[in-house]
Amino acid sequence: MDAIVCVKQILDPEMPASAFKVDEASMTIVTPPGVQQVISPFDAQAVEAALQLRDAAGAGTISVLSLGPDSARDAVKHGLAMGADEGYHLNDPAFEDGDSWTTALALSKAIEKIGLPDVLLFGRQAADWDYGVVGGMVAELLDLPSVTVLRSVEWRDGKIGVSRVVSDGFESVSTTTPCVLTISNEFGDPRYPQLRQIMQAAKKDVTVWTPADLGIDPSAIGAAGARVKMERLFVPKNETQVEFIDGDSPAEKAQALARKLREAKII
Amino acid sequence: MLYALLPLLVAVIVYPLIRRSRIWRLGRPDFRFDNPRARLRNVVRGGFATERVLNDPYSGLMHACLMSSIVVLFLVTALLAIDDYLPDDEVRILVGDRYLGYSLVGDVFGIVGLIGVGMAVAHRWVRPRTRWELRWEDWAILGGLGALLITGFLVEGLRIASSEIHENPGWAVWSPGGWVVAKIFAGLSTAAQLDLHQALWWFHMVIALSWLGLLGYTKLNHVIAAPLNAFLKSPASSGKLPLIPNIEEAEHFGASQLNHFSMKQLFELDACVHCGRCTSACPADIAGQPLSPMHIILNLKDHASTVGSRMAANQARGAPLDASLEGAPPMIGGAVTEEALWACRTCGACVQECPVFIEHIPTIVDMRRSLVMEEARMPESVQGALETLERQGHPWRGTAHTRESWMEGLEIPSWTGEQEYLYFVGCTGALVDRAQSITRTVVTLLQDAGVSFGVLGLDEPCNGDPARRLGNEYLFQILAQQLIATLDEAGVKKIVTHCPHCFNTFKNEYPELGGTYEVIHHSVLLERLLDAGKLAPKATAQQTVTFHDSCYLGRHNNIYEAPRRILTRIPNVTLVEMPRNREQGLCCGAGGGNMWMEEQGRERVNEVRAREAVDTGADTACTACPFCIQMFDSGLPTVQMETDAARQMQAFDVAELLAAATPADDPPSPPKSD
Repeated sequence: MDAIVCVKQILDPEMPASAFKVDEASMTIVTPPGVQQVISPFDAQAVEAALQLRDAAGAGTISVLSLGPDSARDAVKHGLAMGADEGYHLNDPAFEDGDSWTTALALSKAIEKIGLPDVLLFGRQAADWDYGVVGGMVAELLDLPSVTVLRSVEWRDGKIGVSRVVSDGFESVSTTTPCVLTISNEFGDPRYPQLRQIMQAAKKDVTVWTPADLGIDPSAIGAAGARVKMERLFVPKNETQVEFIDGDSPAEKAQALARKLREAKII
Repeated sequence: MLYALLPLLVAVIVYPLIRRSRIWRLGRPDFRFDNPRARLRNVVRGGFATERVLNDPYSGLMHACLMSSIVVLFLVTALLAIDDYLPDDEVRILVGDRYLGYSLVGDVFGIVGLIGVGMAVAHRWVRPRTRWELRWEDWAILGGLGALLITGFLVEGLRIASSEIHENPGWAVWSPGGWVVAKIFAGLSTAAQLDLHQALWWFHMVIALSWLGLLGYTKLNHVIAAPLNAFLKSPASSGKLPLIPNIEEAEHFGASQLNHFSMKQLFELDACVHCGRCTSACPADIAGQPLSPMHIILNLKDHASTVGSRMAANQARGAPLDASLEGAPPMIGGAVTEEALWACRTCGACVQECPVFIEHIPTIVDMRRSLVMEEARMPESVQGALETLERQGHPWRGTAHTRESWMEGLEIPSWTGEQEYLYFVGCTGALVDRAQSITRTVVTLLQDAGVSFGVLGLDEPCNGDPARRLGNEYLFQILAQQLIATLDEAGVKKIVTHCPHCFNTFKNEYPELGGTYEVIHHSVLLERLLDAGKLAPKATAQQTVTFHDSCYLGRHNNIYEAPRRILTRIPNVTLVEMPRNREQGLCCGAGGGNMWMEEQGRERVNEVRAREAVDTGADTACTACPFCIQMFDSGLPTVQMETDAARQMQAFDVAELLAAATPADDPPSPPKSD
């Protein structure tokens, strides 16, 4: 059972909300001091799913693939430390500032270059922008079946059985391989890497590819190829106002409150 | 003829020790000869003077009776043997008045020994302690000693009855024990007395030699092991965990099997006399949680006897250590449960109490290290704390604060390199609501007193203490090395902190990694400021305060009095003590990373401790640790609900009580809570 897990490095989503700042002029997120870049939690769960599938199948190669700047190498290393075998890093200025489409395009080319595995795994969405579409786009580009938002996966001798999270319960589905699977948080915690694996991962080489290595025209990817353009980036203001309702008796206060609520079209 | 048996006796004692030493030698070499003066002092005070045994009055007296009796009677017997071999009366020692004195000493210490045996039997039979373990060896040692002493008196009495009582009746007072026995046997004929004397003398000798033979096979070996272990005991603070040197090259992390321990750790298992003092003092055990330090040691000792001896045999014949060990119980999960390892608070109560100087904490943490680094197997909450430490540089997952949130509304000097002290706020002091108010108070007091200090703010990381206690030595070393680089680059020489855990790690663990700073706990600095007249507390409302010792301030770093002296210098404060205080203080429950764990067991440690505080009748519980405060804050309401107490005890840091009595021009505003 071979698998490729696509992972994204994001700003630690567990940082205090008060530390989150954006630069409205350049429409970028400001990295606060002391806040690290980490592997997106859903993607770490996707690595965990790949490891469990391989354990069930008995053997196989798990590759971790990430598109991002130099620091994204750490996200690949994290996957290796968890137990993956090979790491690939799409790193070139031309890849930068793209959208979901350009990312999916670059990833699909890289997947073809690595060799199509039995299973392609993604987190259900990146925990920073929350689009949740790259997995589906890669499936489309590679013409593969895709099953999304999974709480469990099962290896059934060449086929995959999954349980999907749906709004009112769970849905059991099976699919042929190769296929694209996206993993949801209901899957459970990813493993804590063993120290020896962390050390081995630190020594492992990560293959770095540029657009030229993948045979992609730089104008099709990154900022040049992006189809979604950001218009404005800002942190919405959340204001709370407090007003005390006056009245001589509780009944009067209640009436005044009811009037206020009616005016505000709440009741 | 009898003395021909001596080599046999020596062999009987030495052979099992040599056999056993093969198990000790499975361990990593760990020869400890540094600081010989401190080590010898430990041997004399702890080994020979049995300082710690005496901490418990009853068993201290019992042990003193037994020990003095055995030592004196051994010398008495040896003297008699020497005297027997001296050629003629002129050079013999035991004649005349000297003989009478000798006889009295022997008799008195025989009686003392019997008292000791009686106390020991009573201790086991009539009024057994709850937390100890009785094994066959207890009865063999006590029964043998009792029989030895009784037959000794019988032999003496029969000798007196057959001769002395007629020849020198005035000597009675010099052999009180023997004389009583002589009176009992007075009715027998002289021939019968002599026959019986001869038979009992042989019996006495057989018991004596057999009893000494127990030395190699039972806990009687503590007469050798205890002083030796006192020598091997680390002269450093008990709060310092051993470093894994060159961790990147290490073959294994921590201990998952016996040979991963050091020789010292394996040796000290055999020193255990299962007295249960450690377990009686253990906060986890007191709260009915699944940890008994004594059983950690005893179970490892038994594991060494079974699995360890097979490993030693494998080593002796050059086979792999684990050859033919399939099916043998694993050390972790077999001899010792994971729950027990995680329940440890590293509070040091067991280490403090142990009369034979066993150091439980490094052994427990070594097994945690194996679980965390080797197997990545740990409670979810531990994993969460470690992951947060790795990613965010602090253990407080989900905090809404940054490291500068607490500064809001205050003028806090950033560290420039010019100030005298770096105030190391700590993760808890910066990121936990309750502790932020301690931080704000400390800052205000330091500013009032004109202390020159600065803070690192957002650049302050965790110093690694939680990672180390939780068993992630690798993460600890990374965090520590990064921080040492930061501190050295910033030119930091003196650090003040209000967190005893930060304090302990800086003071005791950083020097080994190259970070040497003058570290001072805020309680000590505040006391100095009071001494210098820079802070002048004024009279406040009358209040009774009980002080709770943080383990990492008290037991591990010996600071008991500074915070108490601050309290007694606040007018109208009356200090009362809980029954367990200072060296015997009970952990709040948060130590050893348990701040971030779920407790399993009959009750929570913080509730046990909060109940002890409430029972003093004090209005206020005071401590000098931001973890202890949180544990009291969550323990006190539960306890006060059950006792239906009219008054509501609250917990404060010593700095907060001092600040409340030291009105400043610009008092700190209370922190916002969310």
